[in-house]
Amino acid sequence: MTSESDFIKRLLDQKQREKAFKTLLDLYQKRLYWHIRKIVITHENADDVLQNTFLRIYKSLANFKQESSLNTWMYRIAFHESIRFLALNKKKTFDSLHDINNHYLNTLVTDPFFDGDEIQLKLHNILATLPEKDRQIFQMKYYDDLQFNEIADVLNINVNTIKTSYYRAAKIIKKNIQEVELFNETGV
Amino acid sequence: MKKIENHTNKDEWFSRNDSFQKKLDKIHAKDLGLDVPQDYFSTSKNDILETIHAEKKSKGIPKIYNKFIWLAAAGIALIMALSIFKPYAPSGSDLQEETEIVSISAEQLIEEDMLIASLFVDESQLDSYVDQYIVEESIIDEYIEVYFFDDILNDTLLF
Repeated sequence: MTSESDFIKRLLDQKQREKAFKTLLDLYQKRLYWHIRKIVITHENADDVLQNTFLRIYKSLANFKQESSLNTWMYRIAFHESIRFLALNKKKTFDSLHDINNHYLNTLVTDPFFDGDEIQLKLHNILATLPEKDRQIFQMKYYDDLQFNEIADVLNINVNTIKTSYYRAAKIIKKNIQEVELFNETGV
Repeated sequence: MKKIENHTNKDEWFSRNDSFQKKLDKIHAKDLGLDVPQDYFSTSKNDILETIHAEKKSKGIPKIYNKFIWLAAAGIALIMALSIFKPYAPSGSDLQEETEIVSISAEQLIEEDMLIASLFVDESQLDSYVDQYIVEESIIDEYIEVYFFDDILNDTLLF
């Protein structure tokens, strides 16, 4: 066991890198997988992007300048790899982002590893209506448990813009969930 | 950006990450109905380590993508060319040509070196380089600028 700074030293030391990288995988594999999964939606896609992400992390370790935390740096790589995947997918399949957003739910329900009930599907429906940036920021804060300043570092956006996007998304989600609950209670 | 902080409790960072990881599957299954295949994370860990091992064996980045190797090849070609033409003694007009050569900028030389080096590379490999890096990067840039950050301006106007 060691502190983050000691751990980074081990990662940067070529002799200790192999062992430290295995520990890095143990610590971050799930975190990055779930971060990626919420962007690319299906398990199959998330698996591909996760592999590319860790490969990129390994190759870039020598260039890690410690200007941000290890956590933020890896999320930034994972985010970029996910966007790269979406962008290439868009090139092959879609004409616009609107198509991708519309495709969100169709992709989700065809994923064999989506096992959501009616309420979970409704939450996805609400998430799909959000602008992509707001959705990503909401998910990074709410599910990935990143701080606002960490999200700002990952996306390279002003922290106030991040807060604005998050609260706007949270407000929309809350309003929609209340409407769904009201609908379920009254049947109207 | 600030430098990372040193944690006083050495176990704190690890235990925090470890305990958070354990909660993730439950959170995503409960809230979003997302699941993963059984033993996925142990299988995936091995796959990632194998991929990295294979990359290291193949000496990492393919030579075609390393422009320094291109430049080295170009440099060798240039030295060979100069050693072949060296025996000629400079005449008046040759001296003028030499002056012109010296006046060529460093950028032009690099560009020419790249062109010479590219002669030694198979055309299909060059196409693959262009597709994989230049086209990909421009698509990603477009995606991020046009689609992902298009409402930043709205945010700025609103607040």
